[in-house]
Amino acid sequence: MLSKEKTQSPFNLRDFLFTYGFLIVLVAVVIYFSAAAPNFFSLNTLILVLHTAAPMFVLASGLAFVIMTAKLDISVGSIVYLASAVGAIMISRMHLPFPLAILVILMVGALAGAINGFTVVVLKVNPLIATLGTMMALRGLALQLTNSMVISLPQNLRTLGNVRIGGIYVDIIIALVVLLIMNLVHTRTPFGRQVMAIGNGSEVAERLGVKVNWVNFWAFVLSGLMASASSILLLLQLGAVSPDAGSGYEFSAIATLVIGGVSLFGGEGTIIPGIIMGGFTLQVIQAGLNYIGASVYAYPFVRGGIIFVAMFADALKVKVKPRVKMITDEEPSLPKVPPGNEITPA
Amino acid sequence: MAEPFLKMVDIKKSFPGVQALKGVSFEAYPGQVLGLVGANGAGKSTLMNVLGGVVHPDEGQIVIDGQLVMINSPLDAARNGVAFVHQDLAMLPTMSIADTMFITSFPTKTGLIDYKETKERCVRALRRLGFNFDPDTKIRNLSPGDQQMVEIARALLSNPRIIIFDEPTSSLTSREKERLFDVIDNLKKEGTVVIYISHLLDEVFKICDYAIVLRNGETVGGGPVKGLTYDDIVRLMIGSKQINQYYSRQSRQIGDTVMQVEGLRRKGIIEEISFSLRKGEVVGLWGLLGSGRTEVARAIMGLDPTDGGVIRIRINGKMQPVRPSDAKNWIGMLTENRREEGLLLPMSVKYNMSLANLYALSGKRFPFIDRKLENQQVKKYINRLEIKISGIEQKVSTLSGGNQQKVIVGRWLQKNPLIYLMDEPTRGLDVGAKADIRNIINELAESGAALLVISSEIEEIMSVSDRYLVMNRGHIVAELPAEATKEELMAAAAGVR
Repeated sequence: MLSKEKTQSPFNLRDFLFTYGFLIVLVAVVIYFSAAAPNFFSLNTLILVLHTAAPMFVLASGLAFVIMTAKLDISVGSIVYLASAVGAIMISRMHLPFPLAILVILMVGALAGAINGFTVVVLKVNPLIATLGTMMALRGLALQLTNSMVISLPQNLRTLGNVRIGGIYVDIIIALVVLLIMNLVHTRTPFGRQVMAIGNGSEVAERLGVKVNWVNFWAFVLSGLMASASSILLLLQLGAVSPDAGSGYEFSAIATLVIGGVSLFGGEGTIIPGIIMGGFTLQVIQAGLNYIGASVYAYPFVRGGIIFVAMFADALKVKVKPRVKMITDEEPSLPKVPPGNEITPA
Repeated sequence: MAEPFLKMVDIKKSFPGVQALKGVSFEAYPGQVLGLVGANGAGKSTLMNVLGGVVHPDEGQIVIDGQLVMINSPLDAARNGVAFVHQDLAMLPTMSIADTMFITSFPTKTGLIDYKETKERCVRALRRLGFNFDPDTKIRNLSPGDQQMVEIARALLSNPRIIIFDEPTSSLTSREKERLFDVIDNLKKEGTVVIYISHLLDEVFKICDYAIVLRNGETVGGGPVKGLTYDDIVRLMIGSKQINQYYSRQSRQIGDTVMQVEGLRRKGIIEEISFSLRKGEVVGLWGLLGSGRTEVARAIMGLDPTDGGVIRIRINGKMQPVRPSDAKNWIGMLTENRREEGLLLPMSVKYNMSLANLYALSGKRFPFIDRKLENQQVKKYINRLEIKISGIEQKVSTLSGGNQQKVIVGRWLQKNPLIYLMDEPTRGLDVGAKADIRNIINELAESGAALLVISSEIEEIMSVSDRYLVMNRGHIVAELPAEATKEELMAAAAGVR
């Protein structure tokens, strides 16, 4: 009979710190701003922060799947612009019913994601370069479509973005529902788990029988789809599409993910609570700086610092990875030869 | 005994330049552990890769349970009840045990993973091996031995009737090894055919019922382990061919110690490595695959982290301790994987050769490379090493293996280090190129360099060495003089004392 092995203790400080280290940062930030600006700490601020962060939550929840496979998609900001531009044109110029326009917007996003996926998986282009290409091309296409003009939504839709239910903005609820669904996809579907497997190592996943190309392709489609979904929330919040819509969003989304504990090296991270924490932290800092009346240029600077720290923590995580529990060898490792079997030098 | 459950008949396979299997046949019975023994390159792994569907044989038949089967892919192998526990584990460090085991076979309920069921199955599969791990434990928190148990549990999920272990103990401690042997014993009792690949004889004697010895792609003998002695197997492994007369070796002028390694260690990889190299001496570091020979070279060069030990090198006539990260200033290294680690393949011969020496080639006043001097130097060593190229601008990727290796040697010659570490310097080279490299080794030693040569080919290491260090499981287990015989070397490396 074999001896029973002791099971691992469920609590691991290293895992805890790397997963929730930024929770500590978030709490510190909230405490700081609450002390600096007396009316900062309120339900109203919380709702406003979540309202502003809602489109980012949705955008990041799709991008997360690409990042978790250890790839990048920097075209999501341009997909936001293209999808909302197409949607706005459909609604204001072609008078398409709003639900139908939503469908078109989502299709645009999925299609853009499919182009990224095709370029990376079939044409074997480096993901950063492939999505850099679509980032520029799709923005160009959208500028062409809009003539680089601001396109406004009709009056009846313009208020939709600020509808509240019981004091809470509808888009907060939508964003949370999306996050719940994406969390389910991540943790409870074979697709989600296989995304993580690929992030651990494409070749290992291949050897285990994961259809690596197939999973990679759909991760990009999901990223594009969620970018367009986020563009709907943004469109309704702003009531119009301007030529700079979505620019820089890709990096805000990446920052959200990294702060939330999603590793750029792949295979690590969560949708909930990761993205909520990451998006919330960034937004709280922005709002807080507003409250204490800091210069408008302070935010990019502070945000850059936070991203740097997050990336550094991410790199550290990889560095300590190879640590494994070792059972010490107390017996001499040389075998004993049965008597009579010694080999005598010739 | 009953009918054989598995029969492999006259399996042949050749790779470009080498016939790996020259018609191997064997039979295996249920409830029996079959040991597949042989030195490196004997064809053990190729044979099992044929059975596992990784390699397609040129000729031959596989019969399982009386049925002639075609195995063209790992999936086919699984369908025919063959499971393979590879030497390098396929693990997902950031994920849980349950995820790693079921990643392609999650039980689902309405499209969602049924985690309760997954964990139950995972626990059951681990219990079968006598383990009580929490299925949520992250793989990276497991020791290599525990990871291997997860790998075995995964292999057993499909209820295989044949299970292959390829060098399963290479990263295990002795306690973990005992546990593995218990598991194999249980599999045997359940009536599974177990095929155990190893070159470590003590293990074969311990758990195998029957042993087959391969050499150069042929079955050279075998029988019930009870009727065999260590001696028999060692003789079968190396064959009767005597090679000493092939290469005459001049005795060299051996001088003072130029490098001394003391207590070099890296936990779980190499332990207490101590040795010295003397001027004009070639020391052969011999050991079987996985014995830690490459790791010693990598540790000295600072390519892998170490947990302790001192390296002293004679600098300006005095032995001085040197950090591994600085060792490359005094030691020239030829790596095991010259294509990946030694060369910049898309670049020219010239650039590759002057790479380690750019500062010496730069002008005194301005930091620009003196092109005339560079060309002159490169041409000098190309002539000296007789590298066959169309011109110094030829891309290294278009050269033959032998000429590529000479380019690396030429790079170090320019720097003229006192000490060379050569890891498998002739791997993959043809006979002529091998002889050239051996001559270069001899010339270097005669010109006063100290060389540590690592090779998995016993004939080769015997043809150049003045002294041998033999490794087994990360330890130096023997130091043998130049007169040592092949039998002594093989026995020491296989862990026989």
